[in-house]
Amino acid sequence: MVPDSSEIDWALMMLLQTDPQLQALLPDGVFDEEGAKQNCMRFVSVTLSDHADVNTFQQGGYENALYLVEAVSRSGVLTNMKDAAYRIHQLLQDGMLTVPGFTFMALYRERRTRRVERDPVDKSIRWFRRGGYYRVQMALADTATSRQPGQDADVSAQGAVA
Amino acid sequence: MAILTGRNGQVLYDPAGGAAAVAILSLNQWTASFKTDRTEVTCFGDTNKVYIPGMKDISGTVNGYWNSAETTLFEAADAATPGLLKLVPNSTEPTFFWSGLAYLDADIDVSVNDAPAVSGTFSAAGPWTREPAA
Repeated sequence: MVPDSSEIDWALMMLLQTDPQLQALLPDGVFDEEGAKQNCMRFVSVTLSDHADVNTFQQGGYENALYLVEAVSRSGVLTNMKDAAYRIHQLLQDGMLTVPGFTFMALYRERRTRRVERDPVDKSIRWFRRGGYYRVQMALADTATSRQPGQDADVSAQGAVA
Repeated sequence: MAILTGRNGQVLYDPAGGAAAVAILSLNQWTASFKTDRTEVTCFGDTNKVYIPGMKDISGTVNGYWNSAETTLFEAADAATPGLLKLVPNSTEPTFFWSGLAYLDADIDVSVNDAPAVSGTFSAAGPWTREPAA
């Protein structure tokens, strides 16, 4: 069966979501891209920045993804951004993900990010963002166990809500 | 038949040189060359250069990624006797392929930011055939 690449996103977010130290620093949660709720002021943002399928014959190969993972905090809210970004780095640098249908290859930072953004609606509000771009590489199943050309997709997975 | 994709290419190998070739895992490219030597025999009065064919020289390359569950390429490079190599452009058309005895060499390239890449070259060690024959 073809594995679900979204499970990689989920595993990364769960690794961050379930860490009590990070939860204490950024209690409003972990969100995919800009999906944070309106009242969130201290949270982790995870964005799939780049992705490539590196293929081999017979539907093997690996997925090569780059995630932007940032601690985000609103101005006027007391947040230890230094510790939050460092905790993210501690969790992800040479960390490990367990994802169904994949074999873990690598998880590491490629570069840091640190920026301040003006709120697009209320110009008096600043958003502080600190984190990095993290490379995630996950191998697909070997030829012997992957789907062969001409085989039907798993129809039970069709129609599932993302 | 129509033009098909290379996604379903295949490289198979039997170290015993027989008919039990098994697909080598984690490869993503193969090339083969069937060049024939040419000898120039241009003579006075010819309006252009003239050549006659010599022997065909069959060789090629395979490329892919290191997979610890698949060491066939390196075992073949260590072997003192040739194995049977079978090259399939698309496994959905399994009756179309090139095959023959071949000696293989292997290389591996490991860098910090990518999956280790393996590559190999092969040279014919006996007669090669193309199937189906014309």
